[in-house]
Parts: sequence; structure tokens; C-alpha cells
Amino acid sequence: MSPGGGDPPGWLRELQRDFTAVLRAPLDSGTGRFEERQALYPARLVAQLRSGTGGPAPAERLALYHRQYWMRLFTALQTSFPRVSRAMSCWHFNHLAALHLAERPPRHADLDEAARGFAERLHRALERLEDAGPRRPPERPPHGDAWCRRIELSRAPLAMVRQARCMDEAERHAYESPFEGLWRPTPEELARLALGEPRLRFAESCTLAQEDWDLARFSRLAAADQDEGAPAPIRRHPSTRTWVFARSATGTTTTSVDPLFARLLDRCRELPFGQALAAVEQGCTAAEAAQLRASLQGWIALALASGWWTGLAGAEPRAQESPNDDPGRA
Amino acid sequence: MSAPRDAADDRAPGARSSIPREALGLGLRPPHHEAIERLRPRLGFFEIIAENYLGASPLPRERLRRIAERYPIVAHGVSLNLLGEAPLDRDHLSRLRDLIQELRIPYFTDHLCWTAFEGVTHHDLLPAPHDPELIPYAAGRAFEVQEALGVPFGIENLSSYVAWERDTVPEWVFYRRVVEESGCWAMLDINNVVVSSKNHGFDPLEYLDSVPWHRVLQVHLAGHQVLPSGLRHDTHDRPVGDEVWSLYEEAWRRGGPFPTLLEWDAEIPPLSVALSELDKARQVRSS
Repeated sequence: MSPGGGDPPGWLRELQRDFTAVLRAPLDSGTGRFEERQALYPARLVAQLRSGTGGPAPAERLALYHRQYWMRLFTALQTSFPRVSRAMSCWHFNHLAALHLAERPPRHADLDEAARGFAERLHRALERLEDAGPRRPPERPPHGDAWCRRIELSRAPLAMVRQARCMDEAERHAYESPFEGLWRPTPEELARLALGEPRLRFAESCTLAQEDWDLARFSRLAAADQDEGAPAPIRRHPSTRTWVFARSATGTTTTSVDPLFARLLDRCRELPFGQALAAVEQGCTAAEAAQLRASLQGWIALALASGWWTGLAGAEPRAQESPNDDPGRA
Repeated sequence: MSAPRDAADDRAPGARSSIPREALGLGLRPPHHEAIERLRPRLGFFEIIAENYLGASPLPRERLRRIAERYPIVAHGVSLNLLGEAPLDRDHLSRLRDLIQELRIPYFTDHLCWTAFEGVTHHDLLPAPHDPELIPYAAGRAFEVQEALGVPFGIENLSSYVAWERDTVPEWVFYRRVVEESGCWAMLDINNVVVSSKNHGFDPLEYLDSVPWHRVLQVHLAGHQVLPSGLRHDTHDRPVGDEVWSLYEEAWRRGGPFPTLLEWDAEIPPLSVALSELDKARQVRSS
């Protein structure tokens, strides 16, 4: 047998080109739902379809593939961006997804890869909107940029969309990161920490994200259960919350942390532990300082048990695998 | 092209015995991972969608390794592009081979269809005409896949919604000839036979008449929808329908035993519901 089976017949390429054109043609949303326009299907392709006796017409049969193509990709992007799609509503989000997919059609066998690059495009659109100043009143002409116009049409607060994007990206980053094990500091390392000298090394997967609207409850891992028919309202919290996204041994974790601990974690990214602690203390009220002192050991234990730190900067990574890691704290 | 292989020419001894012929398996999907690790259900094997383990995240493969310690794993693909006009993707085959070797996967299956054009992946299983001109082309590519992967390759029949003016041989003849001329194996999807028979108006028993039973590596079962237009839609989102069970019973009578796998890819129910569906397969076989 000859490997590859020789060259394909010439007609196959033409047929697949026309079929591809049908699949990739954007669905029309003018009627308030995404629908195909069968009249625009290439006549050359439709003529090659057998009509048969009874049953749907050839173009209607072709339309099943067309709709399926877009709905599968919309679902894939909603799964990757569960918070953005909820913040904007799936209707407006799907328009952005269509723009993204037109600019960057999927080329990887893994469907999840179709979402690659979407976050950057959304980020740039949000920047353009912010550069343009406050939201336009409804009577003003819409933004000329399709991404910006669609975000505006969603009427979602820009800050909420921005936070949703950051949280979705943090979750994706955790999902794509390796689990580096749990670090159990030696007495020598604890002594160095007590002196405040070294910086802590954070796990690659570990990201802090702020939340002013209740977006954390959405997750790429639970997206299948979130159906557009029953959208729960997204409420604004009385105060900002901070979440830590990270990898565990068995999955990803999303953990709410106290605002003081969030500040400490943030400072620890750049400063040695002792300096970070001092910087946070300096900004504390007396009550907060007391809380910091009372809670510090527990917070450190949480960070170690969750694998957010993997060792001291400048030392060899010493994190160790633990089968008893506790996933899914949310 | 060399002569077609026959049943005695088993290029992979043990290929048909690596998964017990009576085994029942389930498509491994993320919503079931936790329950599988906790409950350790009695199952013959799990089948993975290979592409789900070739992405950027190490997490899916880490989870899979734990399950593979307890169950045989077979791999099913959705992007080989066997009937595509472009050369086979050697990088993709190489990644598949790595996955197969790492997890000691006994065989690989994918569809007799096309999935991409000019480098753009459609993430769908698209039909090509049943034109005899395509048979040596498809058979040659299937042979190449089997050689590249180093394990038996099972070719799956497609469910489809369109028929072509170029369909000059019946689907079952096209399918059988590709399987036989490639020296590969058949991955017979009973649900797909029912879906296509309803969509195109043929007798599914006539399809079974043509199946090369001695080359059936595995059988798939799944549920499908009936759309308002009357078309059957291969959705894998519900229990297996009565027509599919009836045809499975007939297939078992004609060609059993063969490993049987339930696919449930959308509206995925709790593990217990999927396992109950497999119990129906046991009952159908013994009826």
C-alpha cells in the first residue's frame, strides 16, 4: 500500500473549499438570533447535494453543519470566558466571539485553543474604550470599532468586564500551569523568613484577582451547567474582594482571601517577606494591625497548604508533591 | 498498492484481544472524573477524546494518568482529516503516538470524514462523497495513520445530514472497502448507522449486511435528537434510543462479541445514569 494514498481527486479540494466557505460565513443576527442565510450558499456546492425524496431541502441540511460550526465555537469560547460571557450576556459575547474567530480561525485540534488570543483582543478594546473617555449617552452615534461598539451595546460596566476578563484569564492560567507541589519550609528557611530577608517564590499558577461584582461563582469547569435561559443577576459587592487562583494536585482552586492578606500577598510579589509585612502594617489602622498579628500564622498556613509559595527566592525549588492536597476551595 | 489484508493477516497480534471482546466501556468526560476516582465503577475500559489531552494544560493528562492506573484506556480522535485534501498532519500524529505510548493505549479510532481545510480546523466531522475514486485515497491515508501510530487503527462510520450527487456507491460499501483495502479496522457506530439511515432513507439492516465483522475493533452507542425538520441530529446528549438498541441487538447477534462503548458528550448526566445505560447494553445482549 502506498502511504498517503496518492493525490486527492481535483474535485475534492473545490468541494471542501465551498463547504468551508459555508461553515465560516458569519451567522446573521439581524432578527435577534443567530441564523444562517441559506440563499447565500454557493450554488455550485448546493448543486452537488442530492435532493432525495421528501425531507429537508439540501440547503437546510447544509445549514445544520453551518449552525453547528458556530454554536460549537461559541460554546467553547463561553466555556473559556465564563465570567466575561455572563457579564456581557451570551448574546453580546457571541458577537465578540464571532469577531475573534473571523480574525483568528481555529487551527489547533484542541477546541480549547480556539479561545487563544481572545483575551488580548478584549483587553485592547477595553483600553480603547477607556481612552475614549466616559460612556457615550445612548443618543450619541455608536463607536466605529466593532469590538468597542459591541461592548457598549452590552451596557455592562467596563470595570466589570475588565474584572471578568482578569478572573477568566487567571483561571485559565492556573488551568494551564503545572502543579509544583507543596513547600514545607525547613527550620533554616523559617529562621531566614523570621529575619525578613528572603523573598518568597510564588507558584507559577498563582494569580490574585479583585472582584467588585459576584463573578467568581462562574467557572470554566462548571460552564456546562450555566445555561443562557436562566441568568442570575450579577450583583455588586459592598466592598472589593480578592481571590487567589492556583493549581492544586488535582485541579484548579479559587480561594477568597482577607483584604489584609491580599495586600500582604501582593507586596510579597516584590518585597522580601519582612519588608512586605512592614509595608502592609504601615498602612493599617490599629484594629487592622491587631487582626494582622492574630491571623498571620493562619494565612501563612493557608498559603503553604494551597501551594501558593514554592520556596524562597534564590534557593532551589523545594516544593514536594502531596496526595492530600485539597482542591476546589471556593 | 498491496493486496488487501484479510482477517488472518493480523498485523497486530492481540489487537482484538487487548480489550476483552465482551467489555463495556464509557467515554471518559471531565464531569465524571471525580466520581470515577471515588467510586471506581466496574467497567471494562474508558475511551478518551485524544485531542482533549494534546492541549496546553497538563491537568487533563495528569487526571488521565490516575484513571489509567486502574482502567484500560482506548483513544478516539476527531481531527485526523482522513478525507481531507491536505496531507496528514505529521505533528498531530506524532503527538498522538506519544500519548498512545505513554498510556499504553491498545488501539486508536477516528472517523471516515474530513475536518479541516487549508489549515483551518472546523471541529466537526464533515462528509465527503461516497465516490469510488476516494476509496484508495482514504485507504492509503488510513494505512499511513496505522503505521505512524504503531497500534491498530479503527475507522468509524459517519453520521451525516447531506448526500452528494457523487455518491455512486452506498455508504456501507464505501466504508467496508476503505476498511478492507487499508488493512485497518472497523469502529462501528450503531447510532451513526441509525442517524444516517433515517436522514438518507436506507435500510440499516442492509448496512449491517455489509459490515466486515471480523475486523470490528469496537462498537459505539449514543443518543441522538430528532429535529423539527425531521432530520436526525447526532448529539450524544441523551439516552440511547430504541431504534439504536434494536440495531445493536441485531449487530450483536450477527457479529458479537465486540467491545461496546457508550458516548455521552453533552448534557452529561451523573455517572450513575451513564452506567445504568450500559446496563441496558448487558440486557440487550442477553435477551
